[in-house]
Amino acid sequence: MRVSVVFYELTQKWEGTVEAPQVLTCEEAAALLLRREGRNPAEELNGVIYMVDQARRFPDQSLAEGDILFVYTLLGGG
Amino acid sequence: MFGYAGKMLFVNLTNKTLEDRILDEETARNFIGGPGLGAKILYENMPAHADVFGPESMVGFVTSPFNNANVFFGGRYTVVSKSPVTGGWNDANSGGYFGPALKKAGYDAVFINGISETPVYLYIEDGKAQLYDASALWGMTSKALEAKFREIHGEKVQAAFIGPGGERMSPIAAVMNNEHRAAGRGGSGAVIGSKKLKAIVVKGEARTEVADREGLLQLNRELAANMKDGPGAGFSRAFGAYGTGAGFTNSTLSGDAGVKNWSGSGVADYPEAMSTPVGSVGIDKFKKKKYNCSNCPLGCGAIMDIPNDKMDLSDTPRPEYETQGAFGSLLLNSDPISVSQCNELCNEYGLDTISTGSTIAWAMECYNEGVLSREELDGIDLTWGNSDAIVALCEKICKGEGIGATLCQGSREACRRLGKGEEFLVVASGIEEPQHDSRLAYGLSRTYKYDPTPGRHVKGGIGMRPSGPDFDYATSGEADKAGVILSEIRNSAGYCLLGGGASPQGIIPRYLIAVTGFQYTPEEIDDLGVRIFYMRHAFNLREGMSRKSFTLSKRFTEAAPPFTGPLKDSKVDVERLADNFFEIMHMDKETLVPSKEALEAVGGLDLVIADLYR
Repeated sequence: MRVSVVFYELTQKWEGTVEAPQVLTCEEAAALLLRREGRNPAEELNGVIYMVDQARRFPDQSLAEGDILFVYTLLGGG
Repeated sequence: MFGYAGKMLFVNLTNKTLEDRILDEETARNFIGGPGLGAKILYENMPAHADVFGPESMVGFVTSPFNNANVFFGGRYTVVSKSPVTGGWNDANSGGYFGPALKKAGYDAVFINGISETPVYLYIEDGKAQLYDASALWGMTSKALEAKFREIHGEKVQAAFIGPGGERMSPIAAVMNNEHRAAGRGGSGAVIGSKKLKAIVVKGEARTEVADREGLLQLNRELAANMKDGPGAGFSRAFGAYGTGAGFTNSTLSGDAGVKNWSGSGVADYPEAMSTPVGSVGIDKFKKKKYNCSNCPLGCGAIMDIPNDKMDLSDTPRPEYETQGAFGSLLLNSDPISVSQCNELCNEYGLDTISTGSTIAWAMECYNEGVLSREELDGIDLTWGNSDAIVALCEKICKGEGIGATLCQGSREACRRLGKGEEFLVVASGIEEPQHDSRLAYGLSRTYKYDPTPGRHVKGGIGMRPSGPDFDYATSGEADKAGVILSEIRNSAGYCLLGGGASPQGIIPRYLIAVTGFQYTPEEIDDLGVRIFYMRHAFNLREGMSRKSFTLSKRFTEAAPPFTGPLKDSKVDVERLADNFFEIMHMDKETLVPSKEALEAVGGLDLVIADLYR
């Protein structure tokens, strides 16, 4: 399957596309993209919020072909 | 005594007496400073059920052992009083430079009761205090007032003061320092106004001796390394560059920040194109310099120069995240200049930006739902996102003019006076909510509803961690208690909340030991946090408060249809969270009275035990 992932980090956003032979969960898709960028998913996906089609999704929920997954880091401001 | 001046000042404004009292070691060790020490002193010196605006009502300005002790992030002081909004305990803290300066002037704290017949200010220099006539200063706004104090007492003075909002006893009035730093929440500014006290002005050069200076410097080095290359590096880069509003867009889209008076969602009502210009990244083009509070290695503040033809914003502070939310997303306002205009107005007139923006949000929803008319709003067309209308109404609130005289009472009291709009109130025991939605982070709901100072996101508990269907209620009590302990110690020590994101875990107790020399064991650290919570809570119990006294608007626990976005269908069981917390804190679930055994176990609460178990 093929999905797009859009990361909203604290001060910037970036995106990429991931492909896999099996169905991906939100967390797996986000982790694939982070690993490809040489980053550490275990650290960076702790406490993020996932959203597809303006609705919240949870880490182990499956994505569908062509989904656009939004990933929001949340540090909350003051 | 290491970490302390060892002296507190008690002022009675009715008979103009000033009295020094010793801060004893046992009290310092048991309550640290800030809200802990403040609660202890007010409990002992202010009678139960005192009229909040009467002569027996007491207000305190309380430093901490970290102030003026070279502790990174250790510059915050606390204002304590009874709250004119909740009728219970209030503490609110502020950064800038006033706290360390009060310590340098020779005092750990100043407590004031009585009421002056005419406006006065208190001036303290090198351990000597005196009251001065402030008749000519009454009505002055922040920048002019501080300039006046520098003119009278020299460039090195620092001041904590109220603006015109506090003078007219607006329950959303803040206590200000350094022009734009605010102990904003809970209405202590109104209490100070009721006493006809304009300011405390301080000057001095006293040193704060610490027990283990080399150990303290080592902790500073450890913290700096954590910010540079350790787990705190990402946080420090983002917040150091953009301040508390670094993630404003994230917060609006993810369901964290309030949108449309908490009835909307970012993805549906306040999309990226609207939030990005308001957030700190969007307004970075206006930044002219960084702003650091006392001894802060991060510098989350900034001063901006914003060209516009309506208001002088050539030297204005960058709005904090809370302010961006309160005057931005909560009102569907995408105009950053208007947010800064409101921020500047609130700072100048001494009002809390969270409560002011939230009160406008309440009025805005009332107007858009046909509950309030344009005539009732003095002709202001308060449609969602109308930035000119928002600034116009904010100015009226700041000046107490027209409808502003009603709205400057805060949303709940305005609702009561106007006799309508109750369905649109979003408050915790009357306090407007900060910009973190407890339908996203469930644990916040317990803190919002039941902390001794309701409606705060800075008072510990489970905090801002996003929740979902797998939220573990079974263990919430333990996590809640751990968060409360950390928060009580952090706030009482004068350590900045934002410092927590940049710091290695567990550094605050280590700093506390290095500064004071009090050799707390880990168990004693836990007792310390619980004791301070009980002390703050005891003030409310003595006022007759119990579980039913605390309220939280339903919008903060349940996303009702037609709600869309990430919080759709979100529902938090705040009472279950509260039950878990009360149980682990050994508090009766209806009266909220802690068991005698629990109070005795933490120690230092003999007067509370005597009152509750006489």
